[in-house]
Amino acid sequence: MTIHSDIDKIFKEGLKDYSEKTPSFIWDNIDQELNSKRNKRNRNFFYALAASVALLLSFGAGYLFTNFNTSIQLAENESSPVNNEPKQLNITESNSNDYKPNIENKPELNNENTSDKLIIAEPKKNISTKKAKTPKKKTNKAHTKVKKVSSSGTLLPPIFAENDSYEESLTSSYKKNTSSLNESNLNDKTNKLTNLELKQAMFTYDIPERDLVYEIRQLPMPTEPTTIHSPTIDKQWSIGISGTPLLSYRHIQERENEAFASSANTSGLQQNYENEKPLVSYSAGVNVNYQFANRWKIQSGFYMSETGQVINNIDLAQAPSSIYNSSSGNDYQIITSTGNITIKENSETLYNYVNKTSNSNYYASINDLNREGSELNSIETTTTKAEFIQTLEYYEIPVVLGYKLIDKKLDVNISGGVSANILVNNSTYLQNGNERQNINAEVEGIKSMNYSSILGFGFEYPIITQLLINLNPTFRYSINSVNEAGNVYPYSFGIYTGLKYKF
Amino acid sequence: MSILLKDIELLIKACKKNRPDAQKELYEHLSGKMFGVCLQYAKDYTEAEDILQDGFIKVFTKISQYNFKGSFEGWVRRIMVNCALERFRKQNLLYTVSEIQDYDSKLVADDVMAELSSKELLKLIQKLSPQYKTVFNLFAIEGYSHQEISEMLKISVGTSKSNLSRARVILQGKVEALYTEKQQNVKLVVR
Repeated sequence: MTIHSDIDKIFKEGLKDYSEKTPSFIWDNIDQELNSKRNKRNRNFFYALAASVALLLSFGAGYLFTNFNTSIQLAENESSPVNNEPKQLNITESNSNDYKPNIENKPELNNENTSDKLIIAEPKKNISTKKAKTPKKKTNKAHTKVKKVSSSGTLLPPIFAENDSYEESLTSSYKKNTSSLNESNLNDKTNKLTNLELKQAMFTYDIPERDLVYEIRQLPMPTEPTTIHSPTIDKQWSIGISGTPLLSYRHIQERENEAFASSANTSGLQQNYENEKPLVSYSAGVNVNYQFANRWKIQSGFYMSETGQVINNIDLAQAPSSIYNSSSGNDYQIITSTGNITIKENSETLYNYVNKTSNSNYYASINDLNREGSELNSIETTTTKAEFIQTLEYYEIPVVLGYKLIDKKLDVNISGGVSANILVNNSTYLQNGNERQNINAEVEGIKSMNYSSILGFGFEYPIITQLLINLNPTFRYSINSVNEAGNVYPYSFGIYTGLKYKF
Repeated sequence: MSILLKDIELLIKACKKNRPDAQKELYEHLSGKMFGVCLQYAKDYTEAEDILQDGFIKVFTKISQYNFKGSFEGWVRRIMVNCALERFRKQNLLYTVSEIQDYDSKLVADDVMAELSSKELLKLIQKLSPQYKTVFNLFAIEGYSHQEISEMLKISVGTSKSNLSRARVILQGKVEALYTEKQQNVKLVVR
């Protein structure tokens, strides 16, 4: 019989009914946590309820208040006495519900009524005998506290409100106009002005006449023949160098079949690769620029960049070197989002490089292939936490188009383009204090070519003639995936500083 | 304490209504066994207690999702295993990748089971390194396939197989050692 089913069976059956008493504080903790969740839920519900009640009340109050006020107006309008001739000029447009000027009163004879507003609907003294279909605006007598006037429930800007301050701001020309109007109609009491005429009268402004004077001037003629040069873009070519510390990381596209999707599972994709962090590395190179139009330039160059990530929280086991060396030589793997890192070192070596932090003890198995009958033993070993730095170095050839936004002494431009990147180095290091420890390790399954899109903007400032200094925050994002599995897209950000020489 | 199946159903329903007294009773009914499960996966008692605590909080907050389809104990167990795996996933470990060793057993399962107590078996499992232990637990005890395990732990199927095989090899050795020790003791006593 083989080992497989037996050992499985031994443990499965053996542990099937195993149970052990739990310490009492655990239930207390659970109970406490559930209670706080319960209270939180109740509290949130209460807050939501209170908020919605408050909102409802304020809406209701607003609605009721405006309706109430307009109904007061209506009542007042109907009840106030008429003390002028009942002649009225019917120019209402009151069938519409909007707040168009609703002039219902004829202009009065006395000065009192010069306070009639240009676009006011309601005169001070109410003489309308016709019921307005639209709710009227407030009168001064109503002494409303509300600055804004509402009509049919809509709020109007203050200009439509009837108040004293507005009266004072009337132009004198308008006042003059209305008074002239009064005078002209004074004699003919039976003369009814048409809508149009009255409107015209009411709405004309007193514009002072201005004479437009044209002068003929002579332009100075050039005394000498001058040639006009076409604008040349001098100094079209430039070369430069720049570099930056680069912050790089990667975007992982989620795959279709997510693991273990049971209702009880809460970890999901967020738990994966929690121990991976962005890496600060570098990018530097030379570039050549050609300005082919007034504000446009095209740029290419050659850069060397390092991208990657930091992987922390790895357990290293301190085991004697005889243990983990197998004939194939590939003993270790670290699973990362980018791929599997294969480490061709033995564990003891790695363990000795780092500062020891936390320790735990495990059994490790010994493969002793040389002995007959392969006696298998296990030993106890201690482990410690370590950090690995996985890097990929590329030669980059960008092609970028730039546009100058601001063309002054300090130039500001934006640029966009693509870059073809050739993989030259695939190394993983062990972080040893502040340094990187060289170890024999690399990531599997990385494509040799990578293409990325570039977006950036830049500042350029001349220091001496033909030499400029520039600052370019640049963002790069991979167009294709970096790994053969096809789901990891690195991106990086850096602020390139450099010098440029024009010739 | 033994609780009837029907009583459990009532308890679950009460827990769905968030009743604290029902929750306590359900906890007391299942916590012993679930603690056993947590001990299988944890590296020490402290971690096992944490897993148990997190697990039960999840059970009671997600109990609305249990629809009485399948055993409740199985459902709770899956939650415990999940909590254990969450912790496991946070530690990224070096996985050994090498040839799979085969080993011939001299023992019969029944004999061994008669001799070794559950507690001793548990101790052996606890001493395994995390990746071996987890893969062995998931395959041999929970009954998942290598494909499922590879998805759950984000490892390759090959890694899962090799880890299982190594775990078995170690456990086999330990079990045999313990068994023979006990046999000898028994013989001594008989003499």
